[in-house]
Amino acid sequence: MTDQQQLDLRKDEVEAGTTTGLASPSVDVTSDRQNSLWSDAWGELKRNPLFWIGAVLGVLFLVMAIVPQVFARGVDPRACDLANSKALPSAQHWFGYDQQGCDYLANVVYGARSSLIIGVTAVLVVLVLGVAVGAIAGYYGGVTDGILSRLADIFYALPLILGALVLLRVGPSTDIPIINSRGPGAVAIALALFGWMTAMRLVRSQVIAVKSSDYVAAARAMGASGRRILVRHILPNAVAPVLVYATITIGVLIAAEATLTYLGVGLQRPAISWGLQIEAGQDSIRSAPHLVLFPSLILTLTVMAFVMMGDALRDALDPRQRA
Amino acid sequence: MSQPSEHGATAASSLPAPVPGQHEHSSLTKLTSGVAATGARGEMGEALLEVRGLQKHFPLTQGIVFKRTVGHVRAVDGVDLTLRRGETVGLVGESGCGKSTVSKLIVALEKPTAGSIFFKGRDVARMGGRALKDYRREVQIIFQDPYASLNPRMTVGDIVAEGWSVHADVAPKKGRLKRTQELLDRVGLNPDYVNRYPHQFSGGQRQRIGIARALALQPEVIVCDEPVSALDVSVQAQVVNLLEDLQDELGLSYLFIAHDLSVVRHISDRVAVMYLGSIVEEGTADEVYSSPSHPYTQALLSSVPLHEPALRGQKDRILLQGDVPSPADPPSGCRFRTRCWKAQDVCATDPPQLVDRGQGHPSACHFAEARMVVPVEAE
Amino acid sequence: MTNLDLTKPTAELADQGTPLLEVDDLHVEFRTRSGPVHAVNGVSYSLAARETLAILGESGSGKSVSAQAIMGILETPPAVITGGGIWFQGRNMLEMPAEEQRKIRGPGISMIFQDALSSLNPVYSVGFQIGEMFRAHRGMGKKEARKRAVELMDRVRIPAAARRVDDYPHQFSGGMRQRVMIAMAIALDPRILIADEPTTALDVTVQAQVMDLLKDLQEETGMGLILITHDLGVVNEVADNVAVMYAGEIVERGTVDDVFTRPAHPYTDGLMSSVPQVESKGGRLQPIVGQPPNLARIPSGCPFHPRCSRRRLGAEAAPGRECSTDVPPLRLVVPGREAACHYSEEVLGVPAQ
Repeated sequence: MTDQQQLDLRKDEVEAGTTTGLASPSVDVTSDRQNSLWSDAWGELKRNPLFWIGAVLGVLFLVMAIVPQVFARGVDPRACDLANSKALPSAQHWFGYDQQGCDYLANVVYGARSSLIIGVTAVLVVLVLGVAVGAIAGYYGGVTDGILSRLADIFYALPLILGALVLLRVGPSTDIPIINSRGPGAVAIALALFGWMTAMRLVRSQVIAVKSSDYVAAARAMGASGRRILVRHILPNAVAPVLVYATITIGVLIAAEATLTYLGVGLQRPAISWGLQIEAGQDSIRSAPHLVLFPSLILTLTVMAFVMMGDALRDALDPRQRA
Repeated sequence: MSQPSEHGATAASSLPAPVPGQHEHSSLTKLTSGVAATGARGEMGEALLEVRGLQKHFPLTQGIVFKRTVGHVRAVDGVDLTLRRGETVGLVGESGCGKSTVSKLIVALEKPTAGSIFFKGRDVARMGGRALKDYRREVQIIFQDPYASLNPRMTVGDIVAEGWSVHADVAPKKGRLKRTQELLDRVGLNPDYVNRYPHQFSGGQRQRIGIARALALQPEVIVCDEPVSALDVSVQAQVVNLLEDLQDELGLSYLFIAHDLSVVRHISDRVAVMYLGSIVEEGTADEVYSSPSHPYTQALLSSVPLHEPALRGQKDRILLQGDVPSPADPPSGCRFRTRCWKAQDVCATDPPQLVDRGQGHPSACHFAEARMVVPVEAE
Repeated sequence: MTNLDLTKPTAELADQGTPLLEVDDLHVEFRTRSGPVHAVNGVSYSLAARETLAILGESGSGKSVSAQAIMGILETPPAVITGGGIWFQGRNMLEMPAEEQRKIRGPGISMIFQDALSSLNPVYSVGFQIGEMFRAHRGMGKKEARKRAVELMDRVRIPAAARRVDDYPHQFSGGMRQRVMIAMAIALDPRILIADEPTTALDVTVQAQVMDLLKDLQEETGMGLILITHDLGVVNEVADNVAVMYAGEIVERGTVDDVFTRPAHPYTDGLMSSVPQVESKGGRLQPIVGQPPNLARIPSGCPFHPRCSRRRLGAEAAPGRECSTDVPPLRLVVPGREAACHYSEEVLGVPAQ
């Protein structure tokens, strides 16, 4: 009976006007506000504590990546003294020292930059690939869709980490620029190349749904061109879930980057990265647990920040969930 | 005086007089320039749209990359219709009979499998480029679902004015905002709402926005695909009246597609009844409703509940058995024979033509016979 | 009253004349973030055996919410029953323990919904779902329950029931699915059947079949039928009595013959003249202006006054009967007819008492 009840309550909520969602019969038009769905979504976001926690953390890490000196309390992460090796946290050195006797707080703070660069770049590449391929597959359909969707399926068959691992292993022995460098660019491309399929599927299904909507039919019936329909009608309506997905994915890819680096195929020393720090710290986890603890903690917080923002964004952008 | 403002805008709109206030004059002159043009373009009663032998078969496919056709859904299978200038033709039928596909074919959203649609003598299927663009300006559509037919990310003003970005010659760029507001005013919405978004309106108001969008291109024909069936009972009448007023003012022709037989009778001059992809009976509204001669029309009319307690129990009760057959595998001969109480051997072999068999209007039944099903209301 | 005996067939009790169900001053509100939404505001009605009561209203009138309150399927929160009582055969269901309420729902009161497809579970055969009622409430075995399911499908006139009993919901047409729902609802021979827009999603020829079936089943069992609908025609053809709801209140109540021939409330009157009839082409429709109110902001005084063509405001109103400030109670206007309007006599054209 639960399905039946849920359906009915849903219908009922709308009927009672408790939802002002798109299906509500008595939408309020008395107020003088003239909001778009975006500004409504912002109004919704503002009231979501999840969003604020995520946003504050996200901005914190972003600033950390841009001006790490401030957070490192002016300490140079590469100014090391072996005498301090593995020293525990103290009032002056909050995160203690690492194996080489470098200030660990400074190292962890400087690690944010490569993580964020890789996460954001990879997501941008994912978006470009996903939106382009997804929009083409969804809009043209037929054989084009068939081929592109099967291509995505093939990539799906390769696990993200395994695919990136192989590419980064093989990369240095090739002549392809960026890929052969093992720098942040190579890691970002490796992650994007094996992670674009979900974005593509999302865009494709959105485009297909919007393409068959009545307002697109109305635009076609008045003779609007294909380009106009795609730009004015389909993409603006398809973009919301992609935005949500992209936000969450930044977090996921940052974690994946740390994993790859930890496994030894991502960033290489002397780069500063959380993955490298965790990898180095694990050997002395008994004597100096803080070496694993702090980078892991910050990594988790960063990933959580983006996932929380994405979750809040999804709630805000779905007008049917708006109460 | 203590009436809340939210009712003010629509309250004014629903009064018989078109629109109160100073907007009236300007909006009417602007809009009636369309009427003047219409008058110059042709006589009332001239056939605008002629649909002949229209068919639309959707392929049923299987396969992952390369699709294989395994059959066809005969959504529309031989439809003839004529729409004259200034008249309303009602197309009624139950869900799945193909009436919505007819509307999509007429506004050239789908290509017919066979048959033709002539607009002022020219075949729409053969139009291309310029001619098709002109046709799309002349023939507009209003949809059933007022929630799905407006782009949620565009303002009402942009929605109404969109046609002008495609057909720039209809409205000069400079006066577009003013004309948008005049159109909103004409359909009974507050002209100050141009910057609002669709989700801020109720169903009835959204349907008015859809009507304003269709009117913006000054069309001659509007295809109304179930325009009121998603609306509340008390709001339906407002929209029906608006459509009637606009027709009187602008000389519009409507193809009014609906499943609600009462609304169709009220608004239509002529009525065509559709069953499983083809038209079974056609005539003036009075002919079809007072002396239906096709068994399906009779059964359909008999199923409509009457509103007058005095007439309760006076109508002929015809209860159809079973369900509508699948359009992928329609019966041979007459489509209705599987549920018909008059069916004989000939019905399985010869598809009946839609011709007048002595009832004064065409009916696609070998044994057509007028029968009064709905009692005439006692005055 | 002592324990309810729901094992006796409804037909045997049918002629006692006492009401099966009495709803008394029921209030339901939805507590939302943006404030309370008053969905049902003091609704009272009663239902006798063999009676068909139509609850007529538009979307947002609270007609479904009141029925869901009776069925106990309101989701709380956000819905809260803030007052009133629901008396089933003399006992207030709202004061019963949950366990006892559950025993009434099914054998006592059952309900069918508008959307049969989403009300049936797609992964079980219809026979299994109908039989579930017997297994859960009557403790029958699988075989026996299946046999009863076939009988029920026959009763609701599903052709070739014995063959179709193992089919799944998606293999049935809309009308047949609605029959399956009806079969489930009447499986335990309920005293009362609540039908919430049972034919709104159906084509008109199928609607006629389903309404016919409901009428015949009622004749057989003597159950009371509450029919929730917005369709004036369905009310006229099926119901004995009608309660017209607007903004969570009953604004008019009486026999269908009386109310439909001479409405006493301006809303009912407006509804009648705004709907085209199949009997005649009719003149220009006379719509009700404006739109149904938002239940979070119900207008003061008479909730219908902003849309009412007969409202009297300020000085032109009789003392204590100002439409925008004084709430009109549901009162007896002429024998057998109640309406919630200060000026019902005027609408009816009878002299005021």
